[in-house]
Amino acid sequence: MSWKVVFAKEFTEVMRDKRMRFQIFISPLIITPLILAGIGTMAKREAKESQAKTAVVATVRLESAPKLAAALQPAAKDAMRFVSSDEPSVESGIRARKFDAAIILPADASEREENEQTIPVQVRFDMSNEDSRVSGSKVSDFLKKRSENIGAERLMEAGFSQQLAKPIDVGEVPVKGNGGRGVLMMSMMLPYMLVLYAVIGGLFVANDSVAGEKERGTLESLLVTPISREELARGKFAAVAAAALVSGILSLAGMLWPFYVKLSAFSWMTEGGAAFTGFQIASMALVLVPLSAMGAGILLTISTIARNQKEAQTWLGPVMMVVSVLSMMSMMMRPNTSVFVAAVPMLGPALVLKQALQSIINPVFIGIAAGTSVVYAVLAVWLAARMFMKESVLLRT
Amino acid sequence: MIVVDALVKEYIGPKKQVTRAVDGVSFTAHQGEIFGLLGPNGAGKTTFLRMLATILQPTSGTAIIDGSDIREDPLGVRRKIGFLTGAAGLYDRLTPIQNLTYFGRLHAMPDDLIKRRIDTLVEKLDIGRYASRTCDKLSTGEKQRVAIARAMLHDPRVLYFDEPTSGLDVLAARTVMNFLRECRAEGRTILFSSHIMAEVEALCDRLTVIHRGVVTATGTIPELRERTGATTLEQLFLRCIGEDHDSPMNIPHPKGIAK
Repeated sequence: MSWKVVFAKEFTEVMRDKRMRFQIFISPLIITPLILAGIGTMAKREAKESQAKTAVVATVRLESAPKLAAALQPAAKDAMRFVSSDEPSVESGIRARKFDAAIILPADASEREENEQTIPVQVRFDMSNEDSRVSGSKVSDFLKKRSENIGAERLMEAGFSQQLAKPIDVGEVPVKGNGGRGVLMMSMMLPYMLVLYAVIGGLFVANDSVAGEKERGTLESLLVTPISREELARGKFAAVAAAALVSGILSLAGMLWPFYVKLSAFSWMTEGGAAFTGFQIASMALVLVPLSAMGAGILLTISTIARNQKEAQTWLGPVMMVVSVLSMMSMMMRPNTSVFVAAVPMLGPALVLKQALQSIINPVFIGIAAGTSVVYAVLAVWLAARMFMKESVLLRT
Repeated sequence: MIVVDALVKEYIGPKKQVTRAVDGVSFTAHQGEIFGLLGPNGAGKTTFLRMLATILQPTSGTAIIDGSDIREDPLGVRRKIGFLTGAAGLYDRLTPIQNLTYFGRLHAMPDDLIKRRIDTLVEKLDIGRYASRTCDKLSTGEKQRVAIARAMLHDPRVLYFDEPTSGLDVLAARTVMNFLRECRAEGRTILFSSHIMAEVEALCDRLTVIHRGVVTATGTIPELRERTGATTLEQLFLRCIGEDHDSPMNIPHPKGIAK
């Protein structure tokens, strides 16, 4: 059981290294949620400022429909400021950010207003400009509301009930129990982050444990002790896998604690609450454990092959890219997609996490993702052990 | 005692070319003897010592270390040897005590024995002043003392020293030299690899010269002086590797390998 001695020593070293403590404990538990809080708070403030901003709206031929103009001007209050313009200047004005949006009335607007006919009004805005997009949407909503009001007034004047113009009154009530907007957002981001932390959470420990030992000249001292290479590899693997697993679990905890600690910075994601059942947590653990083992196997293989830590980091570049792309794909995919996708490394487990967060229970998908992850983990560990046994690899300096 | 029998190590290159780093080395080093291993850089000394330490597997041949065969019982060999190189090879984030405890546990020593041995070595090597400081804060000499303690922790009967004074100042080098003498006095068998002639002359009872993986000469220093007609140790060394160009006393390379 000498592997336990190696494991204990590796973990003692991890606890003494600021860089590793930060990566395994602080980053997933504190930094990631704080970044999320920062992004959310900033996005919320931006949206608020954008909504509160007085939109400069160019109008074309609005004066030809005086009744509409009279209805719009006072209702717009501080939300919009209308500036008369001509059709050719509107587009360039929006592109140059002179106007946020534009209202364009047809040439026969005057005639249509007199005859109480529908006036087709075009709202123009720039989709690539956030302010313009918000203003365009604001102007559209405003015009629709005004249109409803004018219609209601006309019905009243004609002696009808204004409810004739509004046969359905829609009210939106979100269901409770599955969490709110925050859970939806988490189900997009969390699988990506969890997979990333679980696979590469042991990065520094792996780099330090073999490539680092080669670099510092400690490996030779270790290899002359009466411990078999299998035991040595097992101890080092256990340390890397433990670091990755702790990192993965803490990243989950890091995303969950804001739901229970009511801080205003997290209100944007926690206002709907969260509800996690034992099954959800179990299915997450079912994929996280083999994922950490697979990551540890890959990282340890690279660390064993590399001459030093710098070389190991160079080799890690493409691995990080593959892990990131595969786990990022889960952001764009429906959680309950084809079961074949469950077998794709990293992506399958990421989708299981997404399903769990969205309260979807798909045992076949979970089974395939967990099963194939175990197979990939076994392969990665086998490869790491094989590399560790090869003296031409282990003693490369 | 160390009995080396026709030890060979071949490396296969990326284009399948075979390089013989060690080519049929044989000798016997007796108990209580400091046996020198002399050779220029790239002679194969480190590869040879790594085979004797069972870090590398020999291609053919074998060696018996205090009764254990390096091919058949590598773990048994490792229990009997202590290894010291010029690089201390300590874990910087651990203290000397933690480093020593770790290696004691890897040797499957019980904790109370580890503690007793550490106490003895800490006192003997004067490590106490910095025993609880992490190794990254120690000087090179202090680190080398801890490395000596590590090599001696399990009380090995055989010791390998691979250029143990390289990079050390005079004081630290003297500590290593004194330690070697003490080990000999205690009846341990010592293999001492170096290319510092003064150290070899001061310490070695017998020596073997390795050049391009092959033993070119073995004997005591007076025997080798007589054989080569050398007046200085440097001349002796050059003649043993056939590099004293104008001398008819050069020992020809056994394999006739051209330079």
